Amino acid sequence: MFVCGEKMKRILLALRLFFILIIIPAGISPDASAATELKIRRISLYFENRRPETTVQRNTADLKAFADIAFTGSGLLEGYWEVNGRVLSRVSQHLQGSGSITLQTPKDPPMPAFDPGTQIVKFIIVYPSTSLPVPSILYFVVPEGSPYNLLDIRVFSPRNGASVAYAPLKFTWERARETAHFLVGFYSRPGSKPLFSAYINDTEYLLPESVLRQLFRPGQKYYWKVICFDEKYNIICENDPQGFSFRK
Amino acid sequence: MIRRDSPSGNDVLMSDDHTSSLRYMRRLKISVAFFALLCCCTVPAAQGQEQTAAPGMQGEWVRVISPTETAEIVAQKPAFKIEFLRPFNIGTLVILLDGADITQISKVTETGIEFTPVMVIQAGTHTISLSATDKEGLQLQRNITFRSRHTKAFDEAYMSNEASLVYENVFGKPETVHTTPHSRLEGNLRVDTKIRDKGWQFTFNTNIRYLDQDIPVIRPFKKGFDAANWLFTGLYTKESLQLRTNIGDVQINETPYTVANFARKGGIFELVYDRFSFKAFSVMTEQVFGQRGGTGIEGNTDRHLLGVTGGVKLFDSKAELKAIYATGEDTGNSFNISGASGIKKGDVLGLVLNSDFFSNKMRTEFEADFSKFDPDLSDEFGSKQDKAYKIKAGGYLDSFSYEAMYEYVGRDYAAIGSQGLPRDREGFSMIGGTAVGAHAVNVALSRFHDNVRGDELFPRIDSYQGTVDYSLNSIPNLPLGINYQKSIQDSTREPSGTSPLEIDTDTLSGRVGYTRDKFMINAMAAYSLMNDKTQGNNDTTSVTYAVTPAYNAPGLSINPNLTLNQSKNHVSQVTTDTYTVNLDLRSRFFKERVSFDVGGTYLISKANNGSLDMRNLNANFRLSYNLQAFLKKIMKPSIGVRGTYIKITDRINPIANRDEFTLFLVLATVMPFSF
Repeated sequence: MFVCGEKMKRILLALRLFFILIIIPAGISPDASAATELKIRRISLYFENRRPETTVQRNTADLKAFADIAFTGSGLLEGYWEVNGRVLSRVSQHLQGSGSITLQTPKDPPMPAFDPGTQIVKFIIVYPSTSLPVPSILYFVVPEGSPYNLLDIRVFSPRNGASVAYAPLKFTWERARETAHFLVGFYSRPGSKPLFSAYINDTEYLLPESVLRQLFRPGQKYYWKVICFDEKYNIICENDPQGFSFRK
Repeated sequence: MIRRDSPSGNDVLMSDDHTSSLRYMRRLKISVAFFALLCCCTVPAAQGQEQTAAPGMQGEWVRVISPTETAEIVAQKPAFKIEFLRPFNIGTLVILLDGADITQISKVTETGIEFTPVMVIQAGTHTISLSATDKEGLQLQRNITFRSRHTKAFDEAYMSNEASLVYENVFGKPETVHTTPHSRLEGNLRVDTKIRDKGWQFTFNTNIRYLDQDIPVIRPFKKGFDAANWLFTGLYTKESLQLRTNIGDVQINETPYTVANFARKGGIFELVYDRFSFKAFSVMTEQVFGQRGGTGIEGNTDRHLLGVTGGVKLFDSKAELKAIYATGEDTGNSFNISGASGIKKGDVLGLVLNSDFFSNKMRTEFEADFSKFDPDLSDEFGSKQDKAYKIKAGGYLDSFSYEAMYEYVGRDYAAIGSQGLPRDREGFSMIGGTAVGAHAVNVALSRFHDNVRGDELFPRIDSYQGTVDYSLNSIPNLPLGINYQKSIQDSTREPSGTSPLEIDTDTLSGRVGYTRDKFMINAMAAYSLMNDKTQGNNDTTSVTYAVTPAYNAPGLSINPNLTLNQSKNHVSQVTTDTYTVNLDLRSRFFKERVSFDVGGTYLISKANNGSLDMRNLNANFRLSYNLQAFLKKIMKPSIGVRGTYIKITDRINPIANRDEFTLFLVLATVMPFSF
């Protein structure tokens, strides 16, 4: 045991000397701060479908691209999103402590989708310098497009977050553009399956008492949202979900 | 008539007249809401009850003329007709179809109701629920149940296709531009096929591309036809048994430590019986475009990932025990992935126990993973074994959400199916959030350290991070938010001869928006300082300001965006300013026959030490005329011109200067056809 321990100490001493005499002068410093110099280990680009390729309709406004960047060390990451050689947006973000980060193309400006055909997306890292090849992903824009840009619709009552009496409640909103029909949905959580919905032609809806008693409970928070359609049932506007609750 | 899947997973059908509307809805991803609302609402009264009369009701108050009750109807939009047998208060009448209120879009007269669905109704069992009060105030109620299928042979059977073509020919371009083809023809054929009957269901979806141009193409493209993506799925369901197979562009998502969001070409076979589940998969590890790799299914690990999983649900599905095993080889690089070169090989075994005994109030996850990984088969070092653990708990308590996690990932832990996973770290993280009225607060805290093996040759670096985010929505049309993050890196156990590490980063950002009618504006500012407290003193600052006004009106939307990014290296005293001006303009006029769209970026990059001084303008525009009016219902062609203008002015390196304008003639068309 003693011999082994001595041997181990000698090995460790030799290793330490190796680091101090060889590695440091060679610029490969074991210094803790040098160990944290920002380095990019891996870049992976993809769309929401997790694939490097997608097909979208013309004038799609919600196309998103993502970059998973694995890194070691700390420093300022600088880079930019590029579509067909056009810089879309710049990224300047401090990264610290090794790990990975997911970057997303911004909502504004949207990914260009008015030119039909194939478009190529890249994320180019300016700093730190890296020898990794620049990856790319591509999307195909189908020529046909929506006649509309989706609009927000204004809702009037109940106001967002309102607490109201437990009784049939009237929901009102504006009529935007050439709206012919509305669909109002009620949810227990934004994005969840609707508790209840109604197709209507008017800009107001009175929640029926029978539905109220069956599905809604005082004290619980609910959300409602309006989607509007033109005569051909094209969706032309919608609103963000609004919260409301019935008083106990 | 055609049939399509709604993104909610519910099958919906629609007439030819509504083909385009469905396409719009799919594109806008709002059909989830639309069809989910139609098909998935959960009104208790609409579930499985038949012809019930409310207490106090004497005799029938309605008679169903069509559909015949409990009948099976072959129709995509089954109409119904109901006759009133006695007077009642029509103003109180509520008509629900599968839980959705259709009262206002039904034709209600003094004598009865007529309704034809505007959307195609999913095949299956449906319930019409009628309620009202009579003149005496008594409650009237009636539920009618019927079944529908779309054809006699199958519950559902359809093939929906859409062919599109884009032809571009250069009007004029500078002679120095060699990468732009003079002529280019691109096409896409989308095919969606589905057959469903009784317990069986088959679907096939693909996008087949065609490309031809007068200069060579670069990878991953190739000239001629290529299947950009395809997926075949088969499903058989009978009572507690479910068999599913996916072949083509599939995705495997088990856990972050084993196989995570692994979208590749290959096959997955799944079997679920009662509480038990089994899955086997074989996929390529390289991400490929087109037909390369065939089906992607192989029986060996040569550039493939193979795996099996098995699971059992316990305690009324409130807990699940799962085992995952995956083995494979990967080059690490694809056209969308850049990483360390060298062929990697590895196995991973994961054991997972998830539970939810308290109805989402407290969910728990326990995971232990064991890996054997060789990051480069060509070197003299062999594979190394290591492990990872995770314990996580989280849930919702009224308006409060929380999550706490302990994580250990060994120094040599790695998995072929999850190569971006950070390793050599141990620590915990906590996240909490609440929304009270117009106020919402989210807090996140974490502490991790590296050098989990305590190697004496290296220091141990502790990383702390705290984030607070607050948003306020009390002022109508004026949402506000602020975010602060503090990160600290601090080394301990430094070997002698090495200096300690201490880096702090503070990031503060604020955001505000304002909306009025068709106009909105959003502004954001962020300040970040990395304070390097070591001898290197390599401090950096990053500041970002962004203003995004937008005007959206029928036929016109203008979305400019102005951003200033400023980064400063405190050691060199070099400050780099980058001004970015973006414009996104879309317009339509002459009854939407003419469209004019512009997208462009103007960039100014400048460093105060004279190392960088560049201006870059990249603008694209498209003016097109829609010829659909002349070819109604056959195809949707358009003719137009497209232009790109690039101007680069580099005052430091003038050789990089460019001034190029290219103009194209563009013919494009779409032709939908369905069976």
